[in-house]
Amino acid sequence: MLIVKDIYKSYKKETVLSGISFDVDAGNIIGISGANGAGKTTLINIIASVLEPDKGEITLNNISLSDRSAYRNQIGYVPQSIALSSRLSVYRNLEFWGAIRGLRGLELKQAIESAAEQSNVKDFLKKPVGQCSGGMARRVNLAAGIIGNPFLILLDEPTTGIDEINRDIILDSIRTLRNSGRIVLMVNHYADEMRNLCDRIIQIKAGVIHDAP
Amino acid sequence: MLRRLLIYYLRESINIKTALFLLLVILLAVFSKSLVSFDDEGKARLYEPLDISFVDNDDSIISDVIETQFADLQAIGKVHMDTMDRAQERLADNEILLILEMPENFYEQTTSGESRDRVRIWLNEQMPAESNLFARLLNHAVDSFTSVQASLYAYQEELSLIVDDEEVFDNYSRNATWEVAARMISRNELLNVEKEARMRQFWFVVASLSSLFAMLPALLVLMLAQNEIKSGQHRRLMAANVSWWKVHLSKVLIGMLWLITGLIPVFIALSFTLPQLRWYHLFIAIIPLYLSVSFLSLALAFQSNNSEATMLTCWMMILTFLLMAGGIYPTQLLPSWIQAIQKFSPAYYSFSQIYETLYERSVPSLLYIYSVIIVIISFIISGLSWKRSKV
Repeated sequence: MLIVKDIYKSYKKETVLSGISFDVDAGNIIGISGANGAGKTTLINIIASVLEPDKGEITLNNISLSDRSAYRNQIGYVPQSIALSSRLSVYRNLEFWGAIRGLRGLELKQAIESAAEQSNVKDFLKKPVGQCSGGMARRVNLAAGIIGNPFLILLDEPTTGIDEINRDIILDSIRTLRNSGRIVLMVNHYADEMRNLCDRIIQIKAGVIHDAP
Repeated sequence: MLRRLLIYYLRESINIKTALFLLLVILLAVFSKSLVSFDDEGKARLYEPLDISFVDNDDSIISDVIETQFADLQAIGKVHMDTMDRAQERLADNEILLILEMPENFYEQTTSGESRDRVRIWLNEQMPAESNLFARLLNHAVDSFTSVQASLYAYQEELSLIVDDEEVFDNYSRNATWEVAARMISRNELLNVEKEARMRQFWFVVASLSSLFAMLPALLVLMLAQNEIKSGQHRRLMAANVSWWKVHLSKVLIGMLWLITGLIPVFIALSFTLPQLRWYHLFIAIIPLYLSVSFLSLALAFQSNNSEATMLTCWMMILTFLLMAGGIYPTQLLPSWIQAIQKFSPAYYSFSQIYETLYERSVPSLLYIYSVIIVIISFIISGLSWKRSKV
């Protein structure tokens, strides 16, 4: 279970997040929506532990954010940009990110295969990421974030700028993740996508949370 | 994990920018080697000795003293005894470093105790650094003249008490002046400045270029960091719980690999021209400098999303360090406030170590210690920048 409690964040004098609180059980997809600059990415980055909140607590399966090492072992982060080496192949990228998570040898190989299967990138493992289309690169980006089977997966606009076919593939992958009992937190601008996919939608407006219908 | 990061960054760094850096270093090494000529003793030199012109219409004893003393300096080729017109022609043609013009009746004024006119120096505008250094050397010479003058006055005062005859008095004065001048020449006391200080232009260039080469790979390290920030990989690394010091250290080590690779032709070129500068001297001097500047570059990378501005800032930092170290203009020509803060530049220690080694002087151990301290401080700054990242 993910518990987010009273998260506050300001940049200089501007309050971005003001007392954000919500809980999420395993096996759920939570969509985070809001206008540009509402604080969606800030919230995702705080939950991903790459940004410090000014105040508040976050626990994941009873492990607090303050215990960074144990907390981070449970999360998979998929940033908005394609956070991969364009010069390396898909396989080498997954191998690198799997190794970064501490996987070795056979375990690493199996993790690469599993992530590649879940994200539908098995057909072009040898292709350099720089030569992949936008949709293919986004799938690889997802694969790199879920390698090692993290419990909480944080997605920052995973389907931005790609065609419908690739979008459907990614959304199917996300459903599979949810069905395997994991928590998926997803920032997205596409309302239809969110309504079809998410178990709950949280809207951030003026730094506070609203549950969207 | 460190090994993985090293392999990853090595792959990322094999690109056209690294190739251009290596090519630049090799070209500069070849170019520098081709500039070197050797004197009769087989020692390397980058420059021809500089001539000066001396104008003394009285053709007094002082002319002889100046000519003898200055001709003895290694950096000075010939001392031309010219008329002013001829000297000005030489200056305009860039044949000489400067003109020394003695005012009329200078010797008589000096020995009689009258207030005397000043010696005039005409500097070559096309050699500002060299001629300014020489002018400072002459200031020291003036101090020596003043001492000689004071001695002669004291002697003349005592002599006047016992010698009434003017002709005899003049003879004694003249002989005393000759005697003092000869003794001072023979003891090299007229010019009490280290004659070769900072006039070894080739060594200055070697020390300066080596320091610059040591700092340039920091730009490669900066580019690795900027690519990582731009693509979001650094956030992914943070979320994957990778320690900041492993991320920074692996980039810096890869940069060091390219630095050493690029410096191999430089080592080879220097071994022919400057045998007193062994490869390990150079290594010990430049590695701490490279490490300091690389860590500071990483610190800059995490404070701004504007990669062009960050790159420009890094360049300015490198040039500022080199200027403060006395690697662009010699230290003696720098304003006093820059000399006061010199030791804050990591390039100061590298430049000084190489320069002292070229002179075959022992390098003070404090230079090594301070350079390591600056590496540690830079490392800490890079860590703080990561933790307080604005990207």
